[in-house]
Amino acid sequence: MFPYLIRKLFRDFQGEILALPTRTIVFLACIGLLILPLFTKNPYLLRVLTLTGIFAIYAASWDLLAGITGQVSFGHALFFGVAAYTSALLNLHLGLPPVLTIPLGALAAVVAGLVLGLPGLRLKGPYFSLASLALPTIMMGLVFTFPQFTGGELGISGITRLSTSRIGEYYIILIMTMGLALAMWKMATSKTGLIFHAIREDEIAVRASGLNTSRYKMLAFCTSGLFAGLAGGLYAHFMRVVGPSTLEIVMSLQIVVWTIFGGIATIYGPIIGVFILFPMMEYLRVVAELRMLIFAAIVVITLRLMPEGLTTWVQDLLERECPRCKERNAFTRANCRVCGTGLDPGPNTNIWKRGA
Amino acid sequence: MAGDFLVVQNLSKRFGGLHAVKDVSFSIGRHEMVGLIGPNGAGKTTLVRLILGILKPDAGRVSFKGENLTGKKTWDIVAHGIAGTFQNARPFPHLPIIANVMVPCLGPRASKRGEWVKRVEARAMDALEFAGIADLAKEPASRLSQGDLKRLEVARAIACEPELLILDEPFGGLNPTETSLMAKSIRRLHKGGRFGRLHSEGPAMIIIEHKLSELMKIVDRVIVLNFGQILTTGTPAEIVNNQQVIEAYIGKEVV
Amino acid sequence: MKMFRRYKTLAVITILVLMVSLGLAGCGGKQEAQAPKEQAPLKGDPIKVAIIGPMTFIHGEHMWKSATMAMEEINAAGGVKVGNQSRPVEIVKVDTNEMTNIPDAATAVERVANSVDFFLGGFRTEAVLGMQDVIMDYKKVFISTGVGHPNLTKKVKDNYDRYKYYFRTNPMNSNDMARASFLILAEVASVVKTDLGIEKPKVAIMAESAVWTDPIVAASQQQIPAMGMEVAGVWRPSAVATDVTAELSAIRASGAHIILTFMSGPVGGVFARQYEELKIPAAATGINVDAQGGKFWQVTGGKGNYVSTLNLLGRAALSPKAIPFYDKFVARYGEIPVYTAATYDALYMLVEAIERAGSIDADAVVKELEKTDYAAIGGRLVFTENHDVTWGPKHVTGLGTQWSEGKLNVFWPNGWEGIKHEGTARFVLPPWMIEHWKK
Repeated sequence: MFPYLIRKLFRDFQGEILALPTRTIVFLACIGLLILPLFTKNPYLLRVLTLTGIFAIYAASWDLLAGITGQVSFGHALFFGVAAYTSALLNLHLGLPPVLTIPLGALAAVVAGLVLGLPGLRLKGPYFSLASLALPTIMMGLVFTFPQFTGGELGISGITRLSTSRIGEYYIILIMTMGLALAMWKMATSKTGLIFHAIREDEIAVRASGLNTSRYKMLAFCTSGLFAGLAGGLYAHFMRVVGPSTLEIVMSLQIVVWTIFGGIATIYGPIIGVFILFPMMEYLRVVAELRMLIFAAIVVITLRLMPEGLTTWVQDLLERECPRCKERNAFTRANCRVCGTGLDPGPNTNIWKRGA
Repeated sequence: MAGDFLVVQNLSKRFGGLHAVKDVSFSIGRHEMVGLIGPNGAGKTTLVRLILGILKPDAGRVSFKGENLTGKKTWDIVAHGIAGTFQNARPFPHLPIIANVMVPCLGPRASKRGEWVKRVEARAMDALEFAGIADLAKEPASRLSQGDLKRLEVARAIACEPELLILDEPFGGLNPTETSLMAKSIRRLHKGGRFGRLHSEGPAMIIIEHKLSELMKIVDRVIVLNFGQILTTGTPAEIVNNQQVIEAYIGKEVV
Repeated sequence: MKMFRRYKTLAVITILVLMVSLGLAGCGGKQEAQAPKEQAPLKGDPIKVAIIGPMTFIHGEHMWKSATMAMEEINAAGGVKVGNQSRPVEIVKVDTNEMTNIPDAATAVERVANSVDFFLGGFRTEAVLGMQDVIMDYKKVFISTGVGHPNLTKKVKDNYDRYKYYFRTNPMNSNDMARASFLILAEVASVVKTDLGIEKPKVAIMAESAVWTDPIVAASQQQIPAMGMEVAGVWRPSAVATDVTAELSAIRASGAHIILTFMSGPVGGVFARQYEELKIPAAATGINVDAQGGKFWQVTGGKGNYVSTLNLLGRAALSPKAIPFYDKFVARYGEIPVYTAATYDALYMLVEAIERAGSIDADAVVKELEKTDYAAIGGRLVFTENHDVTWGPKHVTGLGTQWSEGKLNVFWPNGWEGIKHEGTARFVLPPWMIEHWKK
């Protein structure tokens, strides 16, 4: 029995991961991140990667709502901020450990999202986006109205660390990132995910197909909020300071850049986007004055050349779609690995067409 | 002859100054196939949108199998067993065709019946098979031609397994051969039975169509709409010879 | 298609370069460091001091500029004597980007944490809290020179072992700031009383609508009657208002003699310009951060005469170094220093403590820093037991400064508790005000 399982696992690994270059790259990157502390214990590097992980969860959660379901929210910081504040307060006043405060914070974020966002959920398209823009601002108002409770401008500090060592924090957050990313990806590719996709494409047609779109939109809103909330809770325990900056507009808008850069409506796109852009922003500190400019230039040029985002572009470069069964194949193959149809070998040279 | 299957009473809808549907009442029996015709702008599409709950009527009432459906949400109406297609096809353009049809298969009505057909994908495939576009199943919907989009609309509607099917211009954009094929499919569907794993209830139908010659061959009864009101009803033979109808249709050109 | 080939290569190369350089970033890329120049090389490794602040904003800029001046002076005078060595000071610029991005600030600090010995700076409260924790993790000395929240130093008291490395040299904490602003009000009121013969001046409170002003407005409404004056009303413009003529007209109509401002946003400059344009017959004082220095005079287009504010730096002999520093700064950078320029003092105090300790070991330096009694450009600086600025007569008091034709004159303390620094002038009432009330 056991050897069989091993063999099956190995076969799946070979068929599902090694067969596709992009998956192999992601797999190697994951392994690389997992063994990184063996080579360097530089706390600065680990800190950057840990924050990257947190923001990757956050960006992917936005993608679930905006990219997959098409409910473009410009107020996602609401979930992040509320969860961060709730985790911080629960930890500080009730002494709860992070294991409890983070999920509770995420739940609080969902509740806050429902209370504030329920009227907005009835709105469609740009109206929803504009209304959502206001949500974190409302929360910010509350933060400043009760400074004795929220710390006002100062925020809350003195929160328990996730782990006593930087490496511990790194592993906790890295594994959380991988787990949550996988969960979101599974959701987006499930049957529920299919309905989310369909709602983005044409909501009325989904209604006419007999599905309660309001319920599914609510589900997307809550799930996305839950994941964003988990990221917020992790952030609170990692930074050990939670202030109004978690609710700022920058917080809501930077994920949009990350997601579009990586490839919207893919879940893995924003994660890879964050893992490239966030450390790059750090690296650009060497030219502090031009940092934002260079960052913007890179994003704009990338999107000019790869309008569907980096991941989609790389996928098109390294993989060919079988014309018959639509399965993806490595560019090195001459025949489809599933149905055996002949393919044009070699890297895809037509990928610029889409940009033209 | 009508019974209490679908009953529409005094339905009205205004768009600003335009009275699109004016006090329309009719009823349809369980096994009927009815054509809904009328010149452009007569209010046909508005009428079916009111029945499907995509638009809310200003006045009047729609009941189905004795239940009042007025003001219900579209998905609820679909769950009761009415499904419709759109005049201008509304596919999910970035999704593969099979996924387009899987969406209605996931609805509450389609998923609660037929325990032995749990596999959504297989059912969606059968719907495509019926509509005749199964070979394109994995292409994105945006690549379909106008005619194939019409088939996709039909496949999506029958995947809801309705008891009343409303088709808005099913022959639109089809060439004569395709049209007769589609007409045959519709008749076959109306008879009911099984198509692979898909179950057809043998739905009653309302068909909006401009290609009258094809339409008249398959429907039992025709309702003629003009300026938002019912001009007349009758069998195809009666309608073809009705002077009022001819005037409504071609009067403009004559004058 | 060919056209796009070129782009492709370009993009691929750009990305590759980025990827490679990304790897380097982790290994600690270059930092902008201002190493000693021009002077004869000093022996020993440089003592590295990070200047952390929002370097694209005036407050961060002035931290860096003033620290540069201090570093050059110290190195020119032979560097820092550590034991029997003379070591140069090297300052490292760390842009925390804290105005727009809080996690960035703590990351920026951690990036250099292992390669520098001391930290000076910090501006936005929330960011300083995060940076404080990181620096305390590394057990390094952090002297903050830009943030006044009392809770930052309260931590030193609550958890001495962890937070003992944190000091504040500037500004005084916000509670003391409020106290000082009432003393300045009293000074202005006495000028109004003697010059215009008004027994009970009316005070209009004009505070930007922000959280920080709420308690101060409430306190003012109690304090002003207690000081023998009358509140003419409270006006709350937005912190980013671009027009306050309505408020000013209402103040004119209310018959106020003094306008007590509490403004930290750009509304301060707008207020100053329109105040002179409309010739409001009342003396303007209080807190107006925009008017504390920098490019204020350029921003208001030369309008803003007679506007006064509580300040922490001014051209008055609070210490022997104060006036020379002030003049040198203005001559070198063409700007009037804002309060974060007191980073100049912080570097001197740090160097003195290192010399006394004879080592750059953090614990030894903390011991010596605690004994600091330094004649800083903002006044005599002694630390409280919380490592905060001691406020009061003979210590740091803050200053009242008033604009006059592009110059910022010090008018307070003017004999308060017997203190009057050289270079202090009496508060000047605007001529249109005298005209209005004398007739």
